[in-house]
Amino acid sequence: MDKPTATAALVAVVTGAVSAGAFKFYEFMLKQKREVQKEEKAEQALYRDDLIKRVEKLEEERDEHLQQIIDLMTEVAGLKVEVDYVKRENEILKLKIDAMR
Amino acid sequence: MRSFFKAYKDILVYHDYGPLLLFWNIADLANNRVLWMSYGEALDGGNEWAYFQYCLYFVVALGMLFSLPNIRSCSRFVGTYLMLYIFSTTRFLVNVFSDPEFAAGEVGRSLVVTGVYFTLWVWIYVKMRMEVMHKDLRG
Repeated sequence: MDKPTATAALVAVVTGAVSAGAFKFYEFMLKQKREVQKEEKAEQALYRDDLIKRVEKLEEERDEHLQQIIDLMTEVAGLKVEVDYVKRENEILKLKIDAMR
Repeated sequence: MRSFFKAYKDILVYHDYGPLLLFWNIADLANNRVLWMSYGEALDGGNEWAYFQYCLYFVVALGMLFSLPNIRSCSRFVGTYLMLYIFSTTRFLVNVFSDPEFAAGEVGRSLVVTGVYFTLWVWIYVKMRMEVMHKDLRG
């Protein structure tokens, strides 16, 4: 092998090795970046799932409280009618007592 | 003016290399001296080493052409082609700097053309490797 051929072969091999190493390094960097992104995404997903659970729980509680309010309002309406009836009866009784005197 | 140059940068960064590689590959094969010169002729001219080199180029270019749908294999052929290119260019440069008679020819023109072709192959190779890398990362 003459000198130019040997030099050229050496340069080609060294360039090939260096570029392969550079690509491997870049691939490693990309993988690292991707891993960090994946972790961040997983954290965000965890936070989101927690928020969804909390919202579901709060909605359930709200529904329960709404039902309680409706029940209470029904009871209050019934009591109002009863109180009106008792008041009216009381007035009648008062009038009857006055008439007896 | 800035947007004009940015358009060129965008072409280099975002445009695909596939059709260029296909046509360039076919042109390269058709231009290969192996098709237009016999080994006997090369031997008579004392260019048997150059003939072997062209044979290697031919084989690698054929591999490139047939592996074009498979980007991973094709990138290996492009890498081999680049290594051959570096080898022949370095050999040429060593001859230019060591042989004054050799340097008397159209060295400047050859170097400019070689530089442009080299940039082209490097661009194609880098694009392919990036694509392979991103495919690997996506799984």
